[in-house]
Amino acid sequence: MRSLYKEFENVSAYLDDELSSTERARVEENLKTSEKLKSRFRDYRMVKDRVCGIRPLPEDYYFEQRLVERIRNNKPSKFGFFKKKPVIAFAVLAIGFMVVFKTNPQVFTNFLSEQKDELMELYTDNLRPIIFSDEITNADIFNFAFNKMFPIDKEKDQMLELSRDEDGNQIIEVKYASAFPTAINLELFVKSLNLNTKQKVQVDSILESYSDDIGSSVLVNDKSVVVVNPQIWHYQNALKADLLSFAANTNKLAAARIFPVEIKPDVIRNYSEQVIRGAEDGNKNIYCFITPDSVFYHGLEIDKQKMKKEIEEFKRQMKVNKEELKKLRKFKIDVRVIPPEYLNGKTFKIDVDSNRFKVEIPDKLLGDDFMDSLNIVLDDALIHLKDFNMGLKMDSIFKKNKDSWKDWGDSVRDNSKKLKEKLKKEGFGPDFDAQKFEDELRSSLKFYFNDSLRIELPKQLNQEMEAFREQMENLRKEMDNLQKELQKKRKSDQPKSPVEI
Amino acid sequence: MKTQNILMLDDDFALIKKFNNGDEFAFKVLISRHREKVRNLIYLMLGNGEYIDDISQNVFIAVYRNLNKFKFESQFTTWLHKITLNKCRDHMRREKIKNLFVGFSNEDEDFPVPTDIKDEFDIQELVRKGIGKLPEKLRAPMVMKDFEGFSYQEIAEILGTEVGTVKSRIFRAREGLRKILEPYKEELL
Repeated sequence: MRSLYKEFENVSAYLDDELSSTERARVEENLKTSEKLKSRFRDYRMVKDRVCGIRPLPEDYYFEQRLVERIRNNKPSKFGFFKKKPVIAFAVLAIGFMVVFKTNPQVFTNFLSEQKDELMELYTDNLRPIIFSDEITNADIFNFAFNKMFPIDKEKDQMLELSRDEDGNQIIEVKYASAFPTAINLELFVKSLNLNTKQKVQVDSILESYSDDIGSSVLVNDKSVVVVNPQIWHYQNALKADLLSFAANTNKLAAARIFPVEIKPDVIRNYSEQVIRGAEDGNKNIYCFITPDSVFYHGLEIDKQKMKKEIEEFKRQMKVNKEELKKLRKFKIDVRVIPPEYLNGKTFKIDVDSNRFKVEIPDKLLGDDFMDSLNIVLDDALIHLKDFNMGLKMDSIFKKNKDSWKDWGDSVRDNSKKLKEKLKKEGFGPDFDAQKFEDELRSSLKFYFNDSLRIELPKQLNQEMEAFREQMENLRKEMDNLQKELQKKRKSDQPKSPVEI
Repeated sequence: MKTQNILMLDDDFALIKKFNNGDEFAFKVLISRHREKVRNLIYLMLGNGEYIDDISQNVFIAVYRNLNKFKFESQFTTWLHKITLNKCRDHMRREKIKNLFVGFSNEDEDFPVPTDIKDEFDIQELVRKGIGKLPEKLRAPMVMKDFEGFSYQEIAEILGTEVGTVKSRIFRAREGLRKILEPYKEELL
């Protein structure tokens, strides 16, 4: 193979008349015997002829005229020496800078400080609480409490998420997502607790009382800057605690299941108050800036009283005319950039990709450790609430006659004894195990908490259903075709009317 | 123009000497003698006519500024082609940087059949586009040999490489072009 390659190379050089007489004779000899070489020789000659035969460009008669003009206008620069020797130019510049910094060391720090101020001015320009930019509903606030997700820009599907990393550090995340999974939503919460109109108003009132604090903890502007106050964690926990506490107080039966025995709703409420105090006493002026080109923490001082008034006015106008919202987007709050003293020397992790910014909240920025114990309690309560919800769905599945199940309460699970007896009576036999039945049913059917009517069937069953659907579809098509054929046949069988001659 | 017609090939040296002695007209004659070769070389090296004027003017501006450094050790054409190739490379490098963000690739040993020339009926254009698909280091020696008629030795001088390398590159260029033009063999014969 290698020698054949060399032979081809020699054939190419032979074509150019660039071989010694010995090589030339050998190639000529090989060309007589090898068809492969002959074929390649023809190909190379064709290629060479074609390249030789390329039409030259049409002559450009004004070339010299334009060139001379350009030469006249393009005299060598006075700094040509530096252009040719860029190292010298850099060296001269470096020496210049060294002299300036030696004689006036403040120049550099002042310059950096000015640049930083200008940048901060750019990022803080026209900052306004999220509540002014997008319509934040009570459902959004509720979702934030339980699912830790909050919409930043509904049109662009941009949202804020609070989470923890593998090491348990608190994370603020700004990301794009068209839909986010919700473990529980406001509608389901109301339905599960069987709340009446008055109680629903109370829930709305709790949500509204937090909406200002949560909505003003996230600031945005027209330059795609998102500024988040990490204290939003406190508000999220406090709201969750308040809602769970309300749930427990409203429906005693639910409370017994939602909260572990040793935790009382009142204790939770106390936690809630503590949490809010934590949010107001902590490093409340430290904000996380998430901008398209950088992520950093910085101090901001916001006139909260003034902002509160503006929010009230905003809400009032919203009630009058929703279109006013658009005008108020130009609303500007008083923001003063302050030195981030707390953050001096503190580091934090960021994780950025095209779809999200993940920023760690620096250690202890959120204050006391009681948060952790509270979180455990609240998370437990949330799990119980979900399970409680599952019980309701199970109940609804077994329910055949509304009246006969009236005295069964809210959950099947806790009434397994009664259920067992009833099922035995209804013909399931003496060995029927209600708990086992419930567990099996649970494993075969997956319930979605955000939609009590939706049931996800096991994958295999889905596939079988799909195959069955296709068969039925084919059968339908066949029947249609058969019907058409029959109609045609009927027409053709009809006696034709006689033709007059 | 009369002066140009009666000049012999080795009169390039005489023209350079005249220019170095302050005769600007000698430079104009030098340009008119070589401008078309330079323009065609650029055209084939770049594969398109968009920048021919700019680059060929840059070549002659460089010649104008450096003619006093010409050492009369090689032919003027060798020196001129060296400058032309360097200018073409500079341009291609700039274009490559520009195209960094749109996935530009220049695989040396891969000769993909250009899909955009399948509907072309102009054989000249077909061959020219085929040449444009070759890697620059293979394209230059083949163009200089087949289009300009330089010897392997002269090409080696211009490229600053060995005669053996030139021989090998010209062979690889022809092999590459052969593969590219394979689907159109019947039309080309």
